[in-house]
Amino acid sequence: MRHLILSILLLSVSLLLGAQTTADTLPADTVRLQHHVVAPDTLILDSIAPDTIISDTIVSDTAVVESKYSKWVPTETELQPKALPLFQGFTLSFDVLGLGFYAFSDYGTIEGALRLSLKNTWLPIVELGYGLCDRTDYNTEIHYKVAAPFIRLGCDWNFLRNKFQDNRMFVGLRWGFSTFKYDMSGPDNPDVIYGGSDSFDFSGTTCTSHWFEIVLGCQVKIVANFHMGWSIRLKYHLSSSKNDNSKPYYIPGYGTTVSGNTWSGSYNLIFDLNWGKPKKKKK
Amino acid sequence: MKPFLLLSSVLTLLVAVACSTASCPMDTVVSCNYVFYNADGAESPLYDTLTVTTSKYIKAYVYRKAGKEDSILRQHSSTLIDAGYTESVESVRIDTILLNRKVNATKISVPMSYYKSVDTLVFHYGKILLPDSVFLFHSGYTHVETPECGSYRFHNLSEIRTTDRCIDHATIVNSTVNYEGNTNINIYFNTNNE
Repeated sequence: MRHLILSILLLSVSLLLGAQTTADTLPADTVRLQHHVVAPDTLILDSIAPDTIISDTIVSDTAVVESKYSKWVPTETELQPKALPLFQGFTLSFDVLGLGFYAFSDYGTIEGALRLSLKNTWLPIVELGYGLCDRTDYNTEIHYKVAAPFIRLGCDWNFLRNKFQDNRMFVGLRWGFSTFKYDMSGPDNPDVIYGGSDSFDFSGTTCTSHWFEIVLGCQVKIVANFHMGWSIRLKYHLSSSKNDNSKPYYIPGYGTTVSGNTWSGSYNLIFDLNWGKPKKKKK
Repeated sequence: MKPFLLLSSVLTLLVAVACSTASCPMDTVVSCNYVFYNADGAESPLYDTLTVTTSKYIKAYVYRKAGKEDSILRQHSSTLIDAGYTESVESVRIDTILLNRKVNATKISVPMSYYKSVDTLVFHYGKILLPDSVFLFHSGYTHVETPECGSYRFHNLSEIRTTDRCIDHATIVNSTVNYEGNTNINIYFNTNNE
């Protein structure tokens, strides 16, 4: 788990570097533009009457005024309109980390999400996916298999101060739900004291699970309508339907149930959808 | 920037996949827990030596020869056949000691059979010549916490019967036998155990 957090931090630094590169570009241009707008010569001519004798003192005061104006640089926020419309469009995203997990380990997910942006601040989201696990433990030879869909509903809050930019950092909550059937089977288990031996096979055990997630993540604009981003998630298992024989080892959408809570992450490819979004006017 | 992003993504994936841990329960011995009471109904040690045994039947190779003692072996022996013994495969009862000479016991834990519906336990005492028999009726089922931790046999107790040489009676107080260590059976002895 420590390695996971470390690598995610590494990833976050890389993403923030990308965000910083984008952010640095605009203020630099703005400063240059400002120097053109407030030309030093214009300022002196406007503030001093034509017949005035320009003494050293007056020249000095004028230089102070000029200096003050040249330092004033509007921030990116000040250059934007004051309020955003409520509806800011939908984004469609796909997780590649879950697929990677399935490629390199015994379990993983295939999942996508549809997110609505309200004032680029509140981001309700629906996540749909399919969780897979096919694992035989090396030591105990117990086999567990599940493949089932899951759904998560929730909302994120973009806590970046500037809501006009395309980058986002957010925290959010999710409620997850999955109903599934799993198979579990094991080898012969001999009774060394009383004698006898038997194997077990619990096929088609039905289970319904609920869980709760706390999400921290970010997304960065790469090009045009394409973004990339990650999230880390702390998941709390709320309930699973009870069974005397076994409990689900892997819940689709939640992960392994070795402890009461678990960490996971996602790495998303995000596409802006233009459904119902007002088109920008061409200048 | 983009190669760095790609590299960090791959590193994240590999590191995340690499770590996996399982925390299995530490005390995972499934046993039936008995608590002893005296004739006054108070929890009290059994002031005697207690040995608990059970019997099971196993498949064995029995070798017989006229004028020789029978030999019972777990495995086939070509040597005895060469020596003129006849071989037969039979079901042979063997006794197993579950608890050996415990003194002043207040409570005991005894393993249960995985697949039988009745366990027959024999309580041997030090001061009392004849033993008591305890018949425990139960149904067992497999329980798996996680695949890493293996499987266990839990039990549901349905009935207990005893002989009455030293035991007055026994009651089931918790019918579920698992590895949580709950008291399952109270045994009331017909003396004050002194």
